[in-house]
Amino acid sequence: MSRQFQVAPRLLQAERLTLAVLLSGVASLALSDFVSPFYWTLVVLFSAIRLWIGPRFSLRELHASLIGWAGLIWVGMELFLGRAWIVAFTDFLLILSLAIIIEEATPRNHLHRMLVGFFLILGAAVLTDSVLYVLPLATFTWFVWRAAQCLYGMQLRGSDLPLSPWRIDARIMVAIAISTTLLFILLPRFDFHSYLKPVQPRMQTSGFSTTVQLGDFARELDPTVIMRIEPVDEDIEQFRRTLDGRYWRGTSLGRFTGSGWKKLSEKGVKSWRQGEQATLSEIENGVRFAIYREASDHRYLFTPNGLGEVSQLPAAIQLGDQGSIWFQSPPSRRLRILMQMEAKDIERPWLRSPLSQEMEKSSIPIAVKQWSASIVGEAHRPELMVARLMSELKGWSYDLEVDIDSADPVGSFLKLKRGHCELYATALTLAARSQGIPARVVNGYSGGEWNEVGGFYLIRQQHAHSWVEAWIDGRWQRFDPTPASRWQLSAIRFPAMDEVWESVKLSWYRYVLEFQDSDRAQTFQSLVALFKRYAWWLLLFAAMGLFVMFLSTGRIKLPVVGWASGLIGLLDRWLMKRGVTRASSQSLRHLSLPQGVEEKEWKVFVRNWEGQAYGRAQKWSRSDLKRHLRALS
Amino acid sequence: MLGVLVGLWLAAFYSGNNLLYLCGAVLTALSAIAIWQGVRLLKLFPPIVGALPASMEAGEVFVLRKPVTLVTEATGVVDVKWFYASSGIELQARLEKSALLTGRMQAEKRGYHQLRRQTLMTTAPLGLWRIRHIRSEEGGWAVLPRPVPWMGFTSGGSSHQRQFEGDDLHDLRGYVPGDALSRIHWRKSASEMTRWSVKRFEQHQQDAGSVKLRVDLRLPKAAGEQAFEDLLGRAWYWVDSYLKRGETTVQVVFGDRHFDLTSDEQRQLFFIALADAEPQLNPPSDSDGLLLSLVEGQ
Repeated sequence: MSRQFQVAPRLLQAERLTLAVLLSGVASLALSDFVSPFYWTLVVLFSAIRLWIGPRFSLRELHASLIGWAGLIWVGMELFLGRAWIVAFTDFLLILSLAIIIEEATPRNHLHRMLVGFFLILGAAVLTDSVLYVLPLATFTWFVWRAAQCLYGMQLRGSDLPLSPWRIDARIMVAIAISTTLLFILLPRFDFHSYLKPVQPRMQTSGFSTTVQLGDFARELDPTVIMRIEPVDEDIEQFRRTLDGRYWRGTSLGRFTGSGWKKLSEKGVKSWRQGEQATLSEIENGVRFAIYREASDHRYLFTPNGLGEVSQLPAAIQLGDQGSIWFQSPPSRRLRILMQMEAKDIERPWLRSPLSQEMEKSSIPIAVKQWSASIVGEAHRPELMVARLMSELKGWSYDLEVDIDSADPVGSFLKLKRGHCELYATALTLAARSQGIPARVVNGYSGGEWNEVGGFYLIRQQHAHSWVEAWIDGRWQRFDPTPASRWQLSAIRFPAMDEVWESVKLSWYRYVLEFQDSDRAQTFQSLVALFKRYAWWLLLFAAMGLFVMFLSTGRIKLPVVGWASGLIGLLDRWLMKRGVTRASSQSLRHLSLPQGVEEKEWKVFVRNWEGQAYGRAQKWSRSDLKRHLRALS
Repeated sequence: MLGVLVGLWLAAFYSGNNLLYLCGAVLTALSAIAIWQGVRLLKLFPPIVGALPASMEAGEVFVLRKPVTLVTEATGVVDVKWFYASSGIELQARLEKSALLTGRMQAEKRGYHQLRRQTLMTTAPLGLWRIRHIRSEEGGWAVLPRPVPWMGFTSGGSSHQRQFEGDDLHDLRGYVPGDALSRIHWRKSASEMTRWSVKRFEQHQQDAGSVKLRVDLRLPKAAGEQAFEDLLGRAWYWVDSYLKRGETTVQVVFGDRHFDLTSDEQRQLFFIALADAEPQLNPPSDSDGLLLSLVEGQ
């Protein structure tokens, strides 16, 4: 491991650059939640040691390759023991990286590092969708450029060709960034398959499984983002007015177990395939918006009341007779779905009438029956009964920390008169049933957080909510018995930086991850609109920039090219004024005589020019050249 | 590299994964900019005609190592091939802050070669893509005859030194074949074995005047081609000897053309005439000066 050998300085430089390429790949892969922190920490640790000690800390190529082979066998064993293939795959890539990091510093090793770094970047493109991916991608591009230059210099005679100045390479990076953006926007999308789409770990939830225990779902102020909702049309105010206070329905729970709820089987009444448009109701003046649904362990698509259409379906969906909409299986990645909704609620004729389980009274605790009877009193009309129950419940306290008896949660809740939304919804549902009104609990989300920076709604896990649907007047009507103090808790504002960060993430999803052919024209329109809006500012900045460049360099450079025109440029301009245009490869002695110049003097000038340019004469400065040209004129 | 790009784009098109699109776009942009850099480097590569030697002798190996002025700030190596009728010159330019043109030039036969088509090639800046650019840069390469030493002339070589005998050392000059061994400054020459120094005396300087050589380019029927080459070799030996000394006004009547080698331009024209010389039918013009001829009875 610590054999002594001499390493050329250029090889040492390549060693650091190619290590940076490989580490950029490792960093990109480390963004994925499928990667074991142990392995990438190991890689980073060995990289640090290698950088600290230098190429002396190395193994021969054969020995390093044995580590790679051992890694392959190890990963095979991991698979055999039941590890997920995607995790085993990333483990293998990282073990391979480790072997290459400690391989002896040879040109072949540098090539290995570049190749593995490249494959890690590609692997990360599938295994993560984090906005932070752009950072290792940028460092990868920079270091690949520098490392390739270094390796190019090494293969030449003398092996000592220096790297180009970093300021030139920085301009090249700007050019690469611009070209990348253009290519990204202009190239067409052909979505033949989805296996290589970026995947993300599915979020664990508890409110949408077959059985839900009271207190499992909406009891924590968890800031985890569930979905982001951004307007498609330009009228932001209308979008806010329409979406403010919406209930985002997930699934309904119909059978009370004593300590929780069970779902009733829901029959699909209609289904739509991928790419189709699902029309639930005709919309006249609706609001259009896009939802970015995070990957989750359940298959439900949260839909707001008033929903009319769902378009650009990324996967097949089904509409159930209890009002839920679900995918065939829980999606493994973030989805973008377009929706259109009315400001008011719409009729939902597909909802079936109540089942016997939704009217069932045998499981209702005695305490609930007594309490509901005392609240309802003499009222006979269902609306009045529910209104009285609601009025009573809304006067109680909202408390997430309440100590509820798990054996009799509802009785305990009625006694304490404080609790969370699941308890309120459960109490109202059971109370309504005890009065002969079919009812059920609905789990979903409500409210949301408006992001001022990005202009979109953000629904977090802390907006999880339970409410009630009761069958009154031949239709299911929504009732929310939770006290208003609940919204003060879930409306906790996060620091301004969080708003900016969430806005950046949505922009990443919107303009990178979910960019489609249909977005191209819109992007150009937005750019044109932006340009029109800020044209004067842009012109002002451009003029100022040019002025600063002029002052600092004495001449205006092309921003990307950045190459000095030097004396030749000055001479060419002088020649053009005198009717001679010189090709870049044309020597002065083959030019025709410039106007107004004596032939003899011109020949002397050419000889002097060549003497300083090619010979041993002292090089001319700009003032020297100007002096010679003045003499000619 | 092309295979990697194609594979990456196929994966991106197949999957619709925008991050793969992003990777593909980055790699394509990187390659395109590298190619553009290479193309630009070659397009702005400066003319190199001035860097070539004014002339060289047939069979001589000339190691070129000359700086050229860059109009662009770039790093890389450019291979230059400059073609003439039957062959070409291969050079290499190493570009850093400045450019250094290097190469090994050798021509077996005398002649004046019109250089026209030039091929520039580089894999800079990344070594991934080989860029070739063909351009036309006009130039000439005068390959002079092999010098044929001769001692029979009246005012050159060793005979010249016999004329100027002084007492005061004036300066040193380079050794030319025919110089007396006694004139060599051995102490100075000891440190530089490849270039001997010869002492010049005051009287030598004072007596320096004008010399003229007339070269009769007629080739008798009995004489072969080699005789003509030897004639030219002798003429070149004579001229070179005087040019190396540098103190004398040298004039050459070359067939029907007259050259005053004091002027750089005339000297260059003489080199071209000498390199490109062919037998003529007419005797040389003018009458005085030293005559070199294959024709008997002159």
